[in-house]
Amino acid sequence: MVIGGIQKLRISSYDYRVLMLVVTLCCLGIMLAKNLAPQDSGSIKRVALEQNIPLILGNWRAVGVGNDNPMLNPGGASTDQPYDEILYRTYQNSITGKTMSLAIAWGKSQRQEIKIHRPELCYAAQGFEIQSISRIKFRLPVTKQLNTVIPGKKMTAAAAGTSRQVVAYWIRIGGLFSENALETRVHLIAEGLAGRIPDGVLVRVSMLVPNPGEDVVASSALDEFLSALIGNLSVEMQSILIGDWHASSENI
Amino acid sequence: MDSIPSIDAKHAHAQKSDSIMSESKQNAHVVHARTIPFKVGMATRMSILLSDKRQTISLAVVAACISGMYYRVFNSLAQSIWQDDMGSYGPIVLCLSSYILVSKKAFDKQTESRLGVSSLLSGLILLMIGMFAYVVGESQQFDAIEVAGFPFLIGGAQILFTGLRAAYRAWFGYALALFAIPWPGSMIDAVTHPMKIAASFGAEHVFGWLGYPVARAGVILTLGPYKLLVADACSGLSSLFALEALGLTYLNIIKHESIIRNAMLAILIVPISYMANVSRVVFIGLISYHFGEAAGQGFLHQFSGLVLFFTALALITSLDSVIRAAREIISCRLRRHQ
Repeated sequence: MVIGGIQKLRISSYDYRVLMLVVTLCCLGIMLAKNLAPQDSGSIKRVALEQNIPLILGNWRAVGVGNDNPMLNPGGASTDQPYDEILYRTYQNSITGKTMSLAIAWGKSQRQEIKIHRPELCYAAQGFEIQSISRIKFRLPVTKQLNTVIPGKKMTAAAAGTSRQVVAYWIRIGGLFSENALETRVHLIAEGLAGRIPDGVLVRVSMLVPNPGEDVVASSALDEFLSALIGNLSVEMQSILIGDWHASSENI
Repeated sequence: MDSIPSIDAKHAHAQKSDSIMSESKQNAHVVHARTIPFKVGMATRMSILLSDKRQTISLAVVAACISGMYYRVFNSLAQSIWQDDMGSYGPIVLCLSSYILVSKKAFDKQTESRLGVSSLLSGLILLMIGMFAYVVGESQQFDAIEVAGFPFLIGGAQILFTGLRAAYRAWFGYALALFAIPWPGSMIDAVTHPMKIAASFGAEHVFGWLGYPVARAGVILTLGPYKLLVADACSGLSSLFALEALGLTYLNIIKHESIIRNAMLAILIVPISYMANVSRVVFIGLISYHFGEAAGQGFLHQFSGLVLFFTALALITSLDSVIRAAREIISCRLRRHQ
């Protein structure tokens, strides 16, 4: 009888009951949208990269400091300038004489449209050709007894008019080490629905390597530099760059 | 009652109860006055649309709700993407979409038939989908999802008000709204770069054919003493989207029977848009070369964009006549041979 009743149901256009339904749903939608919007995270206001990243990291000494990397613009609140703090330094190894560029970019609120730029996309957009890119797990010494493993990427890139570069980097968004743009977006949605706005950091080291034959040597030099970097940081700075490592550490 | 019912009589009828018996009595008297003839102009159509009190109130209230919901994202888009060349086609597409919905009578009151379960159910489902997209998009500030939900919300509400049949008539208006979704910056960058290279490549060759001294390094063309940078705005992405949206609208309006012809035209818009973009780069280069850099960067720079856009549009519409003529010639020849 109910089914028959439903099948015979007929209402006219612009029925007021339908209008009530639509308005109710709209109000519900507006309320839900307001309630599910994450509040500003705010727990970390500044990380003071310039002060807290040492100028001497084991055998590596800083030989150049500056903010002249065109791909990292400070600003903090727009799509083109998503970073609140940037560090850009060149370090030289006192033993081998190799120089390495370190770039750290930190943004305190990662949102869908205002978030860390991925080097594999950023370099390509600047005209670099990405010759190879691979997923890597970095083993970084967090204390004298413990290593932690961080997923990241290594790539070689070249552009007309500049030399080849070998680049190693990782991106931390909240508690996630993101490997691609989609993963980042999904993580941001999940965190946002739980009420949190995560911070994010890009840690990038690069070396000029004109000769492809030297890639392997360069790659291990990058690893050595990153180990020296993490090993020489305070606990607070470690947690900024590599997050909470307690769950994923292993003995050296 | 054999005189033509006046507008006031129509209103008096509408305010009575909604029971089926009285409705059909009303319809018997006023069906001619309420059905809007096709040949009536847009202004008259709009005024007739708004002459019915229930209709006006419903449309006004829902429009207010949806404006309140979408105010933030449209405002944000209007101040960013919709202003530069990359995204300026967005509002154009939304206007086109609205025009199609109104001209296909999607919001016209249904007098001959009443809304059944299928309309109510499908309207509700679409409304829920749109609401879901809105809630996720607005709370997480994910503009692409939020704008994607916009046609679902409008469509769902429309079906609940005027039925599924009206939505079928106006389906293209809803589909076109998909063009207005703001793509994430990284996706746009990924596509813009190869398009810039392609545009520079094309322009380099055209300059070569015309006999000018030209060299290219990536997206930088050196034309005599001048260096031209083919910037993001010159990639042609925005005009491609705008031309495709307009081309599809044109196809929808003239209603070709042949699917092949529709598909051919829709696909040919891409190379036409590319050629129009290359001509624009060449045009600006020639202005700079012959009249100096100031001329090349000035008023003619903006003007050239408009000129080439409308030229491409004209090309697309005349291509259609060419295709039609070709088809007739071919079928004439076939008939003669039989």
